[in-house]
Amino acid sequence: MPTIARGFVDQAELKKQVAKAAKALNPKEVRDVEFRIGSDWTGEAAIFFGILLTPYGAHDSRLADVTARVREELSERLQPYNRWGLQDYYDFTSDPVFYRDPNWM
Amino acid sequence: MAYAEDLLKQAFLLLDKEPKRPSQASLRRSVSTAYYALFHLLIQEASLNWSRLETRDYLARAFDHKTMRDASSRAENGTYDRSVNPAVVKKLRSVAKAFRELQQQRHLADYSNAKKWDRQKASAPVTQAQTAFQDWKSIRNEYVAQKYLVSLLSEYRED
Repeated sequence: MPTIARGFVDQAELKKQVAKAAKALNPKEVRDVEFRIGSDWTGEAAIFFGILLTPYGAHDSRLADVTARVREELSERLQPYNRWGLQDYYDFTSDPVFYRDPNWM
Repeated sequence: MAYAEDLLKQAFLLLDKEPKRPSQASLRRSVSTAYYALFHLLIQEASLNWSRLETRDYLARAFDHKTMRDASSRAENGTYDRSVNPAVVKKLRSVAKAFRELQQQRHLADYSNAKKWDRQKASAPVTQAQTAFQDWKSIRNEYVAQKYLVSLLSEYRED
C-alpha cells in the first residue's frame, strides 16, 4: 500500500500528467478535466476529478458508457493510487455554469 | 438479491422523480440509495456462503462500511496471479472501485449541504452501481470474487 502523504505529491508533475491523460480522452465526449487534491471521508489522501462533458457525451443514451470509459482511462493512465498514493473520485456534468461553481465537486 | 435490486431500481426512480427540475433531496437520496444497493448486494452474496439459513441475517449485520471500503481498495489496486482470467480481474476491480467511490459519494450526499448536485452528477454514480451489479453477476462464482467477499468481512490479507 502506498504511504505517500499528499503534501509530498509533486503537484506540478501531477498537473502535467492529468493534462496529458485528459488530452487522450475523446473531445467529442469530454470538454474539460479539472482536479483537486484533498481527503476522502476516511481521511485518506485523494484526487477529485471534475469532468465537463459535451452535450453529446452526456446524452442519456451514452452517459453510463462515457462516464465508465473516462473513469477507466484516467485511472489506467494516471494510476492515482499505485503511483501517487491518492484515492481517485470522479464527478461529471455537462453544465458549464455548474462546472464553474466551486461547490460542485 | 431482491432487496439490493429493489434499492437500485429505487435509485433510478429518485433520479427521474422530477424530470425537469430535480430536487437536491431526490438526487442526493438517489446517490445514497445506489450505494446501499451495492452494499446490500455484496453482503447478501457473502452471506449466501453461510450454511445456517436462520443466522444469515445476523452475519449480514457484522459487515462494516470502512472494512468493506479498505478491502475494496485492496481488490481494486492489488495484483492477481497471472492464471486468473484478465477479464474477471477487470470486472472485479471495477466492482471494488465502484464500491469505494460510491461510499464517498454516499457520504457527501447524506451529510454535505455544501456540495451541489445536478442530474448528470447524480446519474454517474447510479449508473456505476448498475454496471457493478452486471459485472458482479458475471464473476460471482469465480474464486477471486469469492475471496473478495471474505475480505469484506474481515481484515483478511494475502500477506
